[in-house]
Amino acid sequence: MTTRDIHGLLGGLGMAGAGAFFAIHGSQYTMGTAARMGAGFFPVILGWILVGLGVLIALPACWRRGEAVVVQWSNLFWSVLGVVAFAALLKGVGVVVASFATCLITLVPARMALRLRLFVSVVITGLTTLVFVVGLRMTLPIWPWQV
Amino acid sequence: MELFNSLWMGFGVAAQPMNLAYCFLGVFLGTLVGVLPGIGALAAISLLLPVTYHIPPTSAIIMLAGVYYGAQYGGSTAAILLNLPGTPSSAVTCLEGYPMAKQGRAGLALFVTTIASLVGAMVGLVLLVLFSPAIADLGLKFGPTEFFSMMLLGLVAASSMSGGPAAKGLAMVILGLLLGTIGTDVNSGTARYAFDIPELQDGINLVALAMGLFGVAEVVRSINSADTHKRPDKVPMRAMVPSRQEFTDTIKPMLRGSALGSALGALPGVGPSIAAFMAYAIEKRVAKDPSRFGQGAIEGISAPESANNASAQTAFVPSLSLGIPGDAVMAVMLGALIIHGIAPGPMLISQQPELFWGLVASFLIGNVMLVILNLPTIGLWVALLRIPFAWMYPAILVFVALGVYSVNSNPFDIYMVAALGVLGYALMVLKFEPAPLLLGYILGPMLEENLRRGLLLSRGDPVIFVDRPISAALLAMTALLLAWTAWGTLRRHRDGGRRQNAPEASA
Repeated sequence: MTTRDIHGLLGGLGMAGAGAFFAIHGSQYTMGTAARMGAGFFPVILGWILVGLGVLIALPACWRRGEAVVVQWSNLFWSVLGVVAFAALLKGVGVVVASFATCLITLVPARMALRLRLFVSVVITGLTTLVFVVGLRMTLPIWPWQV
Repeated sequence: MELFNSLWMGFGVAAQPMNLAYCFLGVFLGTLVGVLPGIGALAAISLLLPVTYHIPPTSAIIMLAGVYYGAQYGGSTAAILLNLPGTPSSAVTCLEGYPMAKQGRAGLALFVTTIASLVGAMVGLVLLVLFSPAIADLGLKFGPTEFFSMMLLGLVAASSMSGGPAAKGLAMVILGLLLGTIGTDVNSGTARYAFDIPELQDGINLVALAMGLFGVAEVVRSINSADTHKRPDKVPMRAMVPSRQEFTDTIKPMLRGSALGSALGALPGVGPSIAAFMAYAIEKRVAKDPSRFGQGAIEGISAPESANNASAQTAFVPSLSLGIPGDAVMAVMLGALIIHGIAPGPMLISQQPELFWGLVASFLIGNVMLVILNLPTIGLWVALLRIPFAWMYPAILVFVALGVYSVNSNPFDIYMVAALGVLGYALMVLKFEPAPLLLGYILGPMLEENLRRGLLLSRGDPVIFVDRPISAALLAMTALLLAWTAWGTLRRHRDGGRRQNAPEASA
């Protein structure tokens, strides 16, 4: 399936947007002169260059054919949720429960029987605890009742 | 004979039991991630960065370097057995290696790639030893203008060589430079783009950026890709021994590949992938019967494999002698040195002789370990390729989260990884190459500082950058490179959509 070159269009606009953000937000810092550069000098100039590059990427993409953008939304959602859940749980319930929960969450998009899912999660939780707590001697809460 | 004294001292350092252990751990993990498609050397090195905080800098760099060149060895295993490059630089090996495997010559292909890798690495190592001290001496004469121009050349080279349209690569470099400005400005003390978040005043954590861009994003992409479900056949040891004829056929391609790879590896921005692609192209051109290529021509694996390993060694030349990393992996390794308070630059070799010569000696030891790891134990790696990716990726994500947490013991960094993972995946989906971004991020503060110093010396007159001969030459090369890539892009536009599906070489 071919459509307009969405990759270039979206990417170029995204880059231009990011550049504009850095340039405009950066203009509140002192610019200084070329001889005595202030904090804003370098990022503001780079920001505008990025805007220019973004336009250069987006413009030709408007009339070029390309492939449709494929996003694995479910993979992205569950993987990121797993990492966020780990951050939220670690200090509250300890590394064992946090790792186990993260494994189960990130395994959602995989095609796997429930028993295997639980088995893989238990093994990974065990390995994680061994490597980081026993091996690297990181000071972490391990079990929920140790918090 | 000073060279031999230095090398002897280096072996003394590298042969300490602790350094031997870290060297082995490095090359072992390197082979592991090289064999496994989906996770590369950069992701593995970023995962190991937090660990290096707790060990001496020499051991740390020996281990990280081991991962880097170990992955070059391992990458060919998946390429030959599954037609999947374990690392980007072994993509070429698929072309001849997989047909050989289908003909039942997988064992021979694995043997030849391992020997070719060793030969390439040794040639690269000799050049590294001979040239680094000389280049460092030259680097001592560098002022801020030369450093600025050199880094600019490196960044432009990295962006234009990374594959895909040049504007996208340049945009990645600039975005990386901008991300590098986040945090407290060393000169004025202003917290830039920190939004009153205390964690952001220290800047974006290097570990979080590398793991988000390469760890999380790679996992999201490969969770249910069909190619991770292929299973390789068993490889018997006896099938590995080449005949006399096959052996003599591979010697010349190995030497050509090693020479090409070492020359290209020392240039900024030219990674092992490009060296391997070029070595393959040359072999095809000089072959008496080019029609054999694509059907298991043995020189089509030995030349690229020796080229990518040679360039993996000489890539250390600019990093160690000038402090200017040629690619993202080198940048992360220099980042590890900076964390330990060691400033990379032309003084490194004279100020930290144990580190430099110990590292060089560890390359020799590590490469010998790799041959032992890759030949008799090949069955282990083949078995590893039979494990489904779904059993492993949750572990990668948990390790990423705990690893980045261990740097500052602050959950903020884990949230940061999640956010940067989304960014990395978005870039991947939109076909932007994230490696130049990481290079820009690490070089950014150095680039700004040298620009500032250069302009301070000249009282704001930019002519200083073309007044000094070395700086002018470097800038002229940068301009040429830009003009060349711009011309290439224009030509592609004129050709219309016909070239859209040209194979992309990723560094």
